[in-house]
Order: sequence, then structure tokens, then C-alpha cells
Amino acid sequence: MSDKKKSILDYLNDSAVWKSIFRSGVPRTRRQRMYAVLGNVFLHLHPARLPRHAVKVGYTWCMGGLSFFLFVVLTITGILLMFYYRPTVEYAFTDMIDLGEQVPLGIMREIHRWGAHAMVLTVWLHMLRVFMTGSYKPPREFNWGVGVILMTLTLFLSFTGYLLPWDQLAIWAVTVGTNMARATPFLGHEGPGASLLAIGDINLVHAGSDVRFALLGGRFVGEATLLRFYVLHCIAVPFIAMIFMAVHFWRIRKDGGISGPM
Amino acid sequence: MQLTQEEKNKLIAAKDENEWYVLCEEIKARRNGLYPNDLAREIVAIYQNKFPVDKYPAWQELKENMMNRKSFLTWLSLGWVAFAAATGGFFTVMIRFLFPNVLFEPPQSFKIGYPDDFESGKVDLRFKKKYNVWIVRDDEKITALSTVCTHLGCTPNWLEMERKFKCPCHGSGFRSSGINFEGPAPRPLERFKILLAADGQILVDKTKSYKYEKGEWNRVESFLTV
Repeated sequence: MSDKKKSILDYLNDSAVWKSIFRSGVPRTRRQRMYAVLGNVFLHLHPARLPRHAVKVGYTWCMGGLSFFLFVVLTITGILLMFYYRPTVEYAFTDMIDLGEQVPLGIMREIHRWGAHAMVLTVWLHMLRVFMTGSYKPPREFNWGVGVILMTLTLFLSFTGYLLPWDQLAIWAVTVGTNMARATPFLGHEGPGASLLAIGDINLVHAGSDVRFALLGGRFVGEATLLRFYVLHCIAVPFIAMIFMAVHFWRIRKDGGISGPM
Repeated sequence: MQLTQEEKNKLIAAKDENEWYVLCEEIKARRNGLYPNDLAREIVAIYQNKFPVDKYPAWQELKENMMNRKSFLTWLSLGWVAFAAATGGFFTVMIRFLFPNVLFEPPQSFKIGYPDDFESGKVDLRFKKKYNVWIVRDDEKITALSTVCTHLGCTPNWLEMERKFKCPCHGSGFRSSGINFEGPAPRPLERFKILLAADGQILVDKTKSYKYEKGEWNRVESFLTV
């Protein structure tokens, strides 16, 4: 059997298109497999070789990975929802209803909604696992800080998304929630220190100039708020979260790889 | 294609650069116009030896005009300061950008009509939806109450039968005076500034509010005596 028959795979491997994309053939040795992982932009997120404990789901719960998976799901479903949803007082509520009633496969909004609930859950559980296994300790203390910011961004994404259905629950929940911003030290008009920022009788920090005003785009939850939260929810916060996620994943590798039992 | 000894001697003996370049052309011509790398290296080595770079007048001139280390660092730091200032300025502009100049909201101060338009003992609901105020008149005075529940900021409803404001969110209750008496609300409703305008109409100014628990309800602008 010296003249081995060439398989379709071999022909594919030898083609210029395949070689231009993957550069090497099907990886058969250990070295080639490592090279294949390192040379691929999607796979290089993974370490080229895994420690045995990395696949112990009982230890990691895979909660970080699931959080990222849900982020991807929410990004894809979110982009799809944007094709139908208009963030205006006139249309927001009815568009939200139509997403369930009229749009083909009216399940997309439900996937987005339940995915969001699940992501908050997985992020918290991820944090709990990291805390319980002591994985926040040096050399991972910086990455813990990045993780705390990511958790805050997750909650802020949830909060901004909560307003978009524009029903009574959404409006009043966000009214109540943003009232907290009134009490921001110095920056909120009812917060500690705000009264110190005054020139004579004129308050510099008042209901029309404080941090809540900037968040809402007005003095109460109105059409400016709906647009602002829409932009924050769809563009601004995901953009910031992606930067922090890149740092977070990169630091996992640089801080000694996935944490495992001592 | 190395230089011959004769060529070398000629090059070394060259009086000035003009003669040098003539010699170079001759060398090139002897090799059918070819000027390969190893030959060039040889010639450059002799040239550098013969005309040292720091004796070359053009180099001296260049050296004089060249920026020294100190002024380079000065310009570099100046550049960085300018860059930091521009970036800082942009971020300041970015923050200011978030505070709108024009609001598509009802005005903060507005006229609501004449004192006689309001009946004693009644809570006027006409300005609730647009301006978020209740106008309450009793035997002595007219007050403008904020419709924002002091618990978490919902809008209570006026229940005429029970003569109280009742919040649908968490059940806080307020008397018509604005004093809280049931539910989780920690303090009475706030009053807004109220006064008579020059044309005899009542003017409500929502930019000023008065809190009962701070004793501000005693202030003359917090109510209108009738």
C-alpha cells in the first residue's frame, strides 16, 4: 500500500484557498496542534495546552465561560431586536409588543430577556465561585478588580434594558432606580456636599444640573431618557464592557491561567 | 569585482571631492557601468577614511542647526502637554455634551390662574399630569404640592372619598396638607414656591421647593395667603 489514495481532505489541504486561510494542514502532532491554536484569532483566546484541572466543571462551574456565552447570545439577539424596535415614546411599547406578536418567530425578545436574567445570575455565581475558591488572591487581584467593574456593567446593562419596553413597570422602576443618583455625593442635588457647591444663594448642583439630570437627559424619565438608555444599552455600555472583557480574558492567561485546586 | 591597487591609490590621492567623483565615474565605466555592492562598500570605506564626517563642512553646518537634547526634550514635553490639554478639553466637552440646553419638558415656572379659580377645601388635579403639582386651597392659604412620593418617587393618587393621597407603588398615604400618615414614606410631600404675579395670577416656581421637616413651610414663599 505504498501508493496511498489521496482523500478529499488531502486535496482540500493542498488547495491554495485552504492554505491561505489556515497556513498549515490538518494538525496531527502535538506541536502542530499548538500551532493551530496559536495561529487562529478565535482559538488563541484559549491556552495552547490545558492543565488537567481546567476541565473540572465541579471546581470552576464554567460560570465565566457561560457569562461570555450569554453576552454573545445577547449581542446577537440584541442586534436582531434593533431591526424592529424604535426608541420613541410613540412606538417603543407597541414595537415591544409586536416583537412578540407580529415578528416572525416571536421568541427573539424572550431569548434576549431570559438571557439577560441568566447572565446576571451567571456573573454573580462566577463571582461567588472566585470568592469561595480564593481565586481573587495575588497574582489575580487586579483581575478581580476588572471583574467587579464587569459585574457593575452587567447590572447597568440590565438596568438600561429594563426601561426599553416603556410600560408602567419600566418607567416607574427606572424612576425609582435613578432617584438614587440624587444622593450621589457632590454630584447629586440631594447628596452630601452638594449644598457646599454654591456661590452665595445660587446652587451649582440642582435638579437641572446634577448627575441624575445627565443620566436622564431631563428632570424626569421622559423621551430623552428613553433615547439615552437605548444608546447606553445598545452601544455605549457593551462597547466599554468589551474592552474590559478583553483585559479580563488576557489577564487570566497572564496571571497563571485558569485557577484550579492548590 | 574588487578595486585594483592602482584604482585604490588614485582614490586615496584624490585632492577633493570633485576629483573623487570623476574617479568613481571612471571606475564605473571600466566595469561597463556596473556598480555592485561589494565594490560600493570598498569605495565607501575609503571615502569615509579620506573625508571624515565631522570635518565635512556641510556636516558642521548641520550640527549647528540640529536640535540639541535639551531643546528636543523641551519640545517633546510641550507636545505632550498640548496633547494632554486637548484630550482633557475634549473630555470636558464630552461631559458638558451630556447636559442638554433645550428640554422638551413643561416649563419649571408657570401661571395657573387667579386665586378665585380654586375652591377652599379642594385638591385641584388639573396641573398634575403636565406640571406634577397639586394645588390645594384651605381656609387660609393656597399651596402647590409636589406629586412625587417621598418614599421612592412614584406619583400618588388623590382619593376624594378618603381625602388622602395614596401611592400605588408601596401604599404611602398623605393628608391633603401633604403630611404623611401611613405607609413607608419617611416625610411629607414637598411644597413649591408660590406667589402672586403682577397680573394677579398665581405663579408656581418648581425650581424652589420647601420641606416640612426642615421647618421651611413657615417661609412666606411656600404658601399664598388668601
